[in-house]
This record gives sequence, structure tokens and C-alpha cells, in this order.
Amino acid sequence: MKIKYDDNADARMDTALTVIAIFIGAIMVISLTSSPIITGTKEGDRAPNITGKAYNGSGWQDFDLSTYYDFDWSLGDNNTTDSQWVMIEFLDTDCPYCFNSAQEYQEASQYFTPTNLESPWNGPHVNFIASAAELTGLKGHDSSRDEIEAFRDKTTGESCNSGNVDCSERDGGPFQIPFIDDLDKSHMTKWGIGGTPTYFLIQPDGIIAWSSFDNQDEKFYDAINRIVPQINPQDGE
Amino acid sequence: MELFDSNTILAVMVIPMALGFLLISPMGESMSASMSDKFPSLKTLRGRLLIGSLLIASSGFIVSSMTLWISNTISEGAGFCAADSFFSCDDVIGNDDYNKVPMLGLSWAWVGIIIYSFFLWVLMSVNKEPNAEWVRSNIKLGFMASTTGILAIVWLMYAEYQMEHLCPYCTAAHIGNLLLIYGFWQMGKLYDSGEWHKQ
Repeated sequence: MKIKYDDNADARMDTALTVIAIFIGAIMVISLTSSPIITGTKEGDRAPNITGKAYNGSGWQDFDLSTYYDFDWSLGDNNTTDSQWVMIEFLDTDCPYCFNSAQEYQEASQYFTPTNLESPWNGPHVNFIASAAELTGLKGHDSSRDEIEAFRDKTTGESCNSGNVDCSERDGGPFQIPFIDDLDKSHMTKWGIGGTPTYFLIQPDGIIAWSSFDNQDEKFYDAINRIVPQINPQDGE
Repeated sequence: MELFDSNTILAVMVIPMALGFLLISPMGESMSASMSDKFPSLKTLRGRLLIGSLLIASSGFIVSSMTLWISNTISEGAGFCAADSFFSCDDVIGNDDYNKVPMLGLSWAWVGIIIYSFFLWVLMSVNKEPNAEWVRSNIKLGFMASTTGILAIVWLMYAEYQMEHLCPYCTAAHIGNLLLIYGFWQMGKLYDSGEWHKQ
């Protein structure tokens, strides 16, 4: 076997070592001056953004979840006007469990707001949002924007709950919260959600504080009561 | 304008790139005439091409590193160059749908750092041993890598068009790549003409 000998190999090797040192130096500086947070759906992750159309009672408007965030927020800041939390539910208007639990989500959306004088809640405002998907392949799960509107507003003419019940017959009152169009399940897929309903509580800075997926024994409203800092009445405002 | 806003930082970072471009351009000879006493390597075209390309690659490396830093900072929740205008690196680098190489899932910022490290290695090794046997193959490698970069640039420009935002840091890194294509092409031409070794 012929052995090749290259007199100049050391120049390239020396340079490679120098460049590797520069590369590692740069990565170290970046690592020391920033600490990335993974975008994902586990607690402590940054919530993936959701953009699209949402129905707010008067029509389908542009929606961008990131507009709810205050990136300067810290856990010690529980100012009721500046630090608004987000609770998002992924549902399907034809999912029986979503249909049956709609009342508690609707009532909670009115409870966790400091502007509701009838509510004893003394914490920051929690923005409730619903993302309505169509779980294709299941019997009776054929949804539409009309059905989402009927589910939200409790109006007649559309069938919810596997197509068996008129949407107006669900328990609870009409919702006052935005319902995002996720009929193509793009948001559910992006968030890695396999079933409905799934709930996420998001901090004002966009970090997921709680998910029903990781806390199956805890109700979403119990999680809000436990996690969202409330103002001590003695401290006043 | 703040003293250290994102545009000012970028402007400082691309100064070596601009100098490098002037050195490898036809203006390089007249521009470097006054400096050639202090920097003798600038007297020759080979020296100007190598030093100019090295300046461009160094600048590209720093700008690419900065895009990774921005990417991490956005992840922390802070905005570095957020703007409601057309120019916004936060909106581009922070967009999960476009900020990774399709199928590979590797952040474009990492790709930039790795490719500019490669350019630095190619240029620094040639600069160290300009008359070595492997110089022509290194120049070819640099030219091929920078030319392949056009595919990435076209894709990222398409992504920016889709996002309706332009990232100034990414654009600076793309311009650096385009300038290096010209630099490697000039070096290859000089080598093939036989003038390389005479210098």
C-alpha cells in the first residue's frame, strides 16, 4: 500500500484548530449571554404561536396569540392590569366531553376577571380562548364555522355533540371569548395534541405554566387558583 | 436612535465586510495603495483577495453568530430588533415555520455559523500556505460551498417574502456569501492564469 505523505497538511490542521477554537468561543459567548427556552407544549416551554381567524361574536377576525403576551413580565409582577394570563382550550364542538364541560369553561371565563364585580376573583385577568378543531374520522364529527358560531353563541340550527344535539342545547350561557378556527387541525398538530378537550394555562410572558395533559387529576380552574398569583387584600392596590 | 440599537450593532459588524468588498473589488488596488507600506500583503492581487475575503468571512461569521444569539434571546421572551416595519429580524428569526432547514430541523443560524467557519478555515489555511499543492482544491471547495449557498439564500428570501418581513442580519450574512462567491471566483481565475504563484 502506498502511503501518502503531505508536507503541507499541518497548515490546514493548524487552521482547523484555530477555527474550531473561534467556533467554540463564539458558542460559549452565545451560551453565556442567552438561555434559550424551547418552544413546545410542556410546562416551562414557550407556547407555540397561533395565528389565524377567530370568531368573537360579531365576525371572524385576525387572531395572533402572541399579542396577549407581555415579555417583560416576571413572576413577582401580579399587577391586575399589566399581567394578563391566558387559558386556552383545544376542543371539538362535536366532542361529547367538550360539549358537556362547556358550561364550566364559560363560567370560568367570567369568573377569572377582575372587572367582573360579581366575581370574588382578586388576581390578574385571565384571557380565556378556545381553539375549535374538527376531529375527522370520528362518527358525527363534521364541524364548520357555522357550528363553531352556534356552539359559542348558543344559537339554533347546527348540530353539536357528535351531531346528535342542537348546539343551543348545551349547558351554560353564551361565551364571550374568541373561538379560533382550527378546523384543519393545524394548531392541534403544531401543539402536538391528540385529543380534546386539552387545556393550557400560559403565563403573561408566553411560557406554559400548566397543561391538563401533564396534570390529568387537576381541573383547569383549580390550576388557575393554585398558580396565578392573587393580590393579598391587605396589600391593596 | 439609541446608541446600541440593533441597526447600529449591525452597522459596526458589517464594516469589515465593506472593507473586504473594497479590497476584492477592482477598486482594491488604488484603495490599498496608501496602506501597502504598513500591510505589504496588500500590494499583490492575491494578498488583497485573501485578506478581503477573510474580512468578509469574519464579518459573516460574527453576523451569523448574532442571529443565533437573537434566536436564543427571542426564545427567552425578549425582543432584540422587534419592529412593526418591514425590517424586523425578530419576526423572521422567531418564526418557527421558517427558521429551520426544511427536513433537517436545524436552525438556519447554526447553518450560517458552520458554513462561515468553513469559509474561515478555507481562507485562513490558504493564506497560511498560499503556494501549497492543495490551494487550488481549497479555492474550489470555497467556491462550491458559497455557490451552493445561493440555494439557501433563494429559499430564505422566499420565506421572508411569505412573512412580509426582512431580517437585516440575515441579509448581511447572505450578502457576505455572495461577495465570497466573487472572491473565490477571482482567486480561481488568478490561480488558473498562473499569476498566483508569481505573486
